[in-house]
Amino acid sequence: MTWHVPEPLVAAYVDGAVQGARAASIEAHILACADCRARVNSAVSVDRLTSIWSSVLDDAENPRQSWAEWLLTRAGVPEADARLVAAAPSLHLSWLASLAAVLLFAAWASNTSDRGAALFLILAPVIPVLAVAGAYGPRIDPTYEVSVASPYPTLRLVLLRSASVVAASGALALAASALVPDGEIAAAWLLPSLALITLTLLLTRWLALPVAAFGVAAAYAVPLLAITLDHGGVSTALTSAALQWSAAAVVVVALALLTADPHMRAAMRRNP
Amino acid sequence: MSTVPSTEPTDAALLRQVADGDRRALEQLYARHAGWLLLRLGRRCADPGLVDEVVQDTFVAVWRSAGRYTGRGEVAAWIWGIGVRRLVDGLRRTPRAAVVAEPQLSSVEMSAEERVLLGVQYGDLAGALDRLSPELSAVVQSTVLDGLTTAEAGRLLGIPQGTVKSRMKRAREVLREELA
Amino acid sequence: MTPAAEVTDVRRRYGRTQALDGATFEIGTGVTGLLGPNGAGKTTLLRILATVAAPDSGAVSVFGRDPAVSGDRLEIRRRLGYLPQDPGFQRGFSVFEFIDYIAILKEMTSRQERHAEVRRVIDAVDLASVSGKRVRALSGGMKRRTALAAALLGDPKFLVLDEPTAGLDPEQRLRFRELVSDAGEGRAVLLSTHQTEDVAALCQDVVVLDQGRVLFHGSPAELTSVADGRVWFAAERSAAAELVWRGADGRFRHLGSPPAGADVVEPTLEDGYLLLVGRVDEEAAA
Repeated sequence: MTWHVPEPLVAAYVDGAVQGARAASIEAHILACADCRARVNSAVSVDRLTSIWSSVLDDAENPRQSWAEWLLTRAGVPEADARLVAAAPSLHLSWLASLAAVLLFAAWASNTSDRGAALFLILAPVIPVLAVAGAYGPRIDPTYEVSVASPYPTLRLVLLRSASVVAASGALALAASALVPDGEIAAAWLLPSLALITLTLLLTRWLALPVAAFGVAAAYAVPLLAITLDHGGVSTALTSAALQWSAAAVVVVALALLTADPHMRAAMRRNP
Repeated sequence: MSTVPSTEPTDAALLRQVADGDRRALEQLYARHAGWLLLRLGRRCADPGLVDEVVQDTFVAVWRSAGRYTGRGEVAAWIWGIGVRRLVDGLRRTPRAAVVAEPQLSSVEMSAEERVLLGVQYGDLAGALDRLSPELSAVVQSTVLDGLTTAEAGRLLGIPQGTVKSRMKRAREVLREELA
Repeated sequence: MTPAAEVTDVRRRYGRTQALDGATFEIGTGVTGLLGPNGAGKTTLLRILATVAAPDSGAVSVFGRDPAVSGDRLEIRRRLGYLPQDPGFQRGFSVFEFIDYIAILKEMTSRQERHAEVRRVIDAVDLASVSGKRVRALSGGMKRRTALAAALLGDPKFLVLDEPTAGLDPEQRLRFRELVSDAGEGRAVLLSTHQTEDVAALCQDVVVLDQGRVLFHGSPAELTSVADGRVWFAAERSAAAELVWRGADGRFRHLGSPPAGADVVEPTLEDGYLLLVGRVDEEAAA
């Protein structure tokens, strides 16, 4: 194709002086002709194009929000913090799906026998603690080394991520307990779970988060599972008022210690 | 006058690089296509702020969906297709900004395909188009030349879809009579 | 001039291994190479200087600040760029997203400024052509460059690079040396490596670490001169040498005290290093 739009017509077109079918003809031609496109392009203000380009770059490369990030920003977490929090491995759908599978199994088992009910009461409180284990730490977070060497306060990351994964996995556990017909059993996991979570956070003063979380989870679940397998269910003990009150006491004491800790307070106060 | 030397990558090659996450390739495509797109959209919308926004959205869409380009047809036409649809969406939000050029047709270069769409294959088409009323001409331009659906053309022109269809039917009849 | 970083009699034990056993040295502006065989304590030392690990005993100071004090530690981290030995990347993150993530960790909260800085470091390591690509889909060399770009965020005055050239092919290695050498302008860079060629090519200063102690600290030329008059070629393997290996021409390269009449040759930096460490490290000799 050797025909090109004559120069005066290009000038008239870019000035808006060409109308109707003649303009349509030019427009049809420039879709197919790089030369004429370039001549039309050169009439547009460079400043205008540059300013649009910088918005294009900003928009195109801005990472897209994940569902977790979207929820966190709605909950008032600053955008930058939300990005760091949403990268918690245990907020990934693969993690949540496996936790949900364990919960569903436990909820189903609770309907079968006393041992099954005990199984639910042992597993459900541990699920949010396992999610905390997968929130941050060496070998858990791929950028752990770099994040420790960065000025962002590690403890703030630990607390924000822990709170988020507890919320997500806690919601799953609540949904699973809706499938448990016995109301007493369905509610009895909550206080022990909170006790385990607050204990885990307290231990992060001395231990890495996954170590503290796995340790607490194992210290709770392993002996109880052993007893259940050997001697039958422990559901009566786990739903007993005595246990519920002791769990509540642990939560209160641990929360008091946590909030009294100046490091914890400093980490949460910082609001950039 | 600038031309594209043969050593430069083609638009299609650049688009493949963009699909692979190449920011520089997007910058090159922008340099080649943002200007004319801006002007052409500006002829269909009186609000320059909206036009800037639409050009921006178009290239963000190019970055995100470059992989969906099939390799058939001009990349410029593909980009125009994204741009004009974004304009229609933008006008839905701010409807008063639309302007469509008054047709004062004297000569028009049309492809055989476009003639078939109009149902007129012979005769002085440009002359006939010239004599259409502005209302009918605007419908012909947005559906046939800009490649919009009747629903999109209706949104661009601020008229119901049914009106687009009836005006298109009427335009075909007029053209057929004129060129018979 | 005050040194950029200083360690004094630093010790660190991991279980039964004494990783650092009284290391003492200081570094200034420019590129310093940390050479040593596997298990010499290089990574431990770099992690301590990057404020990731703490020493059991001894003093550490970076820009005159003590990483054991929390306020000082924060100030050090604000001036630090760290490339760990085995940098990890989040699943699904693009090059841009990964570096943007690290930029948030480096306290860049304003989105526009952060993105401009992310683009700057991506351009600096020449990765704009893959900025939207998933990091995990990149080649090893490009992954390293991505991690280096993240370390360059915010123009840190102290760069700690743990084996930045490990696992790169010769071309990538050359490219990487260029980048590190540029980064060394006006900054203190400390990099660990097995490769004596890396040190010869880009370091102004060398520290040789072995079994947790500093064996040598000086210029590359000084390290080379350790082997002055102690390298010779012979057709037959000689028992007088400390180290012997067969060269490409079929002759044996000997390190140690030459016998009378031996064909003494000009030493390389590697010769000096090997004589110092007293053994051929598999990777260094490769």
